Amino acid sequence: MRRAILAVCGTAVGTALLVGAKSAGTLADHGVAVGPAPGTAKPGPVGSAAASASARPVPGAGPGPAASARPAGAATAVAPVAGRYRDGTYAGSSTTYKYGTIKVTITVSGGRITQATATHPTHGQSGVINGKAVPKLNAETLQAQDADIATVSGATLTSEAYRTSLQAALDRAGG
Amino acid sequence: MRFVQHVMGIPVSIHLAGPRAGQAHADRAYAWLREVDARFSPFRAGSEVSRLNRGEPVRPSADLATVCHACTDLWRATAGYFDAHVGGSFDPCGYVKGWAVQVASDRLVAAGVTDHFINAGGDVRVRGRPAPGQPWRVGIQHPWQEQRTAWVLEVTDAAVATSGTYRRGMHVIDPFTGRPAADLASVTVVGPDLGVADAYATAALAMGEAGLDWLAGLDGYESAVVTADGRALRSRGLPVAGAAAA
Repeated sequence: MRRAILAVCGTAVGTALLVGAKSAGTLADHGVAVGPAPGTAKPGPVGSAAASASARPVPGAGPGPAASARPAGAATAVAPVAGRYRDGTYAGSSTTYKYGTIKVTITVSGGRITQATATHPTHGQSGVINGKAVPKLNAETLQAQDADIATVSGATLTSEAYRTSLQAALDRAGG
Repeated sequence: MRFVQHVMGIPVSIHLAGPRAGQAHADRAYAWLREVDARFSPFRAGSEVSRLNRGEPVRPSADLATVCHACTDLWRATAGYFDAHVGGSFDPCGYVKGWAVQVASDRLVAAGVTDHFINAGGDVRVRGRPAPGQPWRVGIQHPWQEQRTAWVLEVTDAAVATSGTYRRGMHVIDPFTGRPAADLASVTVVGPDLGVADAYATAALAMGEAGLDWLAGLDGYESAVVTADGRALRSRGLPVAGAAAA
């Protein structure tokens, strides 16, 4: 089954640690899959799962990882099923790359990943992932304008919220 | 001519200008967006994406292959912060909406409607001009003052996508901490492709403060950010109004 998706997408799927959807719930809600499916995971802590997750680069590290950075096991793994991981805390091995060392730890409870934490680089060439790097974007004073505009770009506006939105006012006002 | 219809749970506003504007063009654009919803929503059992996730022997359509490849490219380009494989299944929603609007806009241009914008729930694709000699003026929503804007852009051919944490119920998880990303209130990305711009904006929001430098390093995509503590930052090439064709 998973092979079908891989064949189409040309990408491995085993290390989805990110919940990037705008309307994403918590990690626990999604039963996020990390690493090989349960059937292929080695028993006991120190799952290769977390280790592979920790291999993800920090933003600003240049080109993203090659597809081969994903664990080899993922390519043949069946789709991970939420609720089937072994309970426990799994620590990945520390991975060092040019921005420093990162170690990811996940906690599985009731067969689901309930927590994923990462230690951030405390040394290395840059503390960029710690988030206090000097911004390269231009700083300005935040303004609040009532400008004459045709339309407005903003965080996802649902149909429910549309009626009272600026966009609705613009749509009504337009000819 | 202005139109508003709701597709995929979001309002989609279409404004057609110029001599070729006509209701039939808007109808076709809405029909395409509904088609995309039917074919790509992971929440619809009969969609191509759902069938793929169930492992049914589907022969992937050209569109599905396009979406899959784009998601893979975005995963790489965002250092893994954009990931369509979550929870063990393929969910391309974070890309599909912007892509669908981009395609709809491309088709309008191909049909001769070269002056228009499409705004799908805050993600905008603009083409041409509202009137001769005028650019489209696109506001960037102020995160805390609902009826006001933080910036105004003047554009004639651009995708403008914004991700934010300021609307109720909306949040993005930082994959390294597992917690909702909280550093940035709003990230806007401006560039040629709406699917890419949307994915970049969401990824940068998930990166938090580190996303500021990541955004600054993008090639071909400008950005504007409001941080949670109220700072406003933007790239030099952002086409803000009054910047005199910078």
